Amino acid sequence: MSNRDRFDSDIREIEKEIINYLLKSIISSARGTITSTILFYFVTRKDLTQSELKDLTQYSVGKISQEIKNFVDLGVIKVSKRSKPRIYSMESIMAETFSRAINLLKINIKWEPKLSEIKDELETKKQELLNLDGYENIKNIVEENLFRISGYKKVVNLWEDLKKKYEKI
Amino acid sequence: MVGSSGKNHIFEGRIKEFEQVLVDFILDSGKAKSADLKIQLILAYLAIHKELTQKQLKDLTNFSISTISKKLRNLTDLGIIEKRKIQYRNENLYILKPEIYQRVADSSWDEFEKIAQFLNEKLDELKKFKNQRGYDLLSERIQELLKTFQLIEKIWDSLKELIVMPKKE
Repeated sequence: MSNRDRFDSDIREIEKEIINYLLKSIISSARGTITSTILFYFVTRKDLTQSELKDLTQYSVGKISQEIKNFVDLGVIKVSKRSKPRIYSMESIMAETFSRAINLLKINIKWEPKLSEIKDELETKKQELLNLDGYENIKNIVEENLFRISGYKKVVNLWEDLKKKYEKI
Repeated sequence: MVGSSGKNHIFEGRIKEFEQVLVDFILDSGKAKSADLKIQLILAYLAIHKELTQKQLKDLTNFSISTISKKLRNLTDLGIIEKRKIQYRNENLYILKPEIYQRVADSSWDEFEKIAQFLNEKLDELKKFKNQRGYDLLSERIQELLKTFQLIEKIWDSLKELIVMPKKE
């Protein structure tokens, strides 16, 4: 780590322990290690340049730049275009967590019509399809996801209501 | 190749087409989570087929055995999948554990409690270095992460009723 780090060594050690712990935890889930590492540094540091991220993670500039682009596209971090070098920020962990979750739910909801079509066809053509391998597998996973999607819709509606209330305040 | 369930893992006809729609759905959802797409594809097939060997995953994904092996090891380490030896065969079956919200529901928030406990310990440890650079920011960010967990926990009971499918008797 270069001496231009904004964290002194003892604080930096604790930060590393936190990042390593989170990487092995359930919240890392199916995200890749590089993606999770960069995301967690935004959690601990709030504002970062690409060069700071390179010093912290030792990943190549190309990899960091690609991950940052994805995060900006997904709205996870914001970029300040006025500064040079550019500063990328995750202002509020709470707002980011919730807006990311809601975005994910909306993407799932978008698939409801297609999944419903499959469910309908599995029912109407049951006799014809039942003998094919995988009928039950497809039926179960479609039903599970349609159940979740109906819940996601309620969650998104609750979220939109809450947002409206807070925007009024 | 016929799996331990006695069914062929290569689906055919309309069921194969439905399987592809489900794979696309799971990949789309993975993109929004910044998931590693190779991992996400493996997870998609495991979600549909419930259990697969490395060879079956190779047939389905067209990834090399070394890629599959590496990704399966990551997923096993993270506790997302389970490896089970097939009796009398020099092969393992890989099984997807219940999804994160089901696991959280089942474990009554245990896994998040552990993370919160770890973060609280690190907050205490940080207090020894109050005068060092980075202390204020890291403490503030950990506290915000903890508050986010607390808020999710508060609303979790209502959320899980909406999105966690009741277990079939």
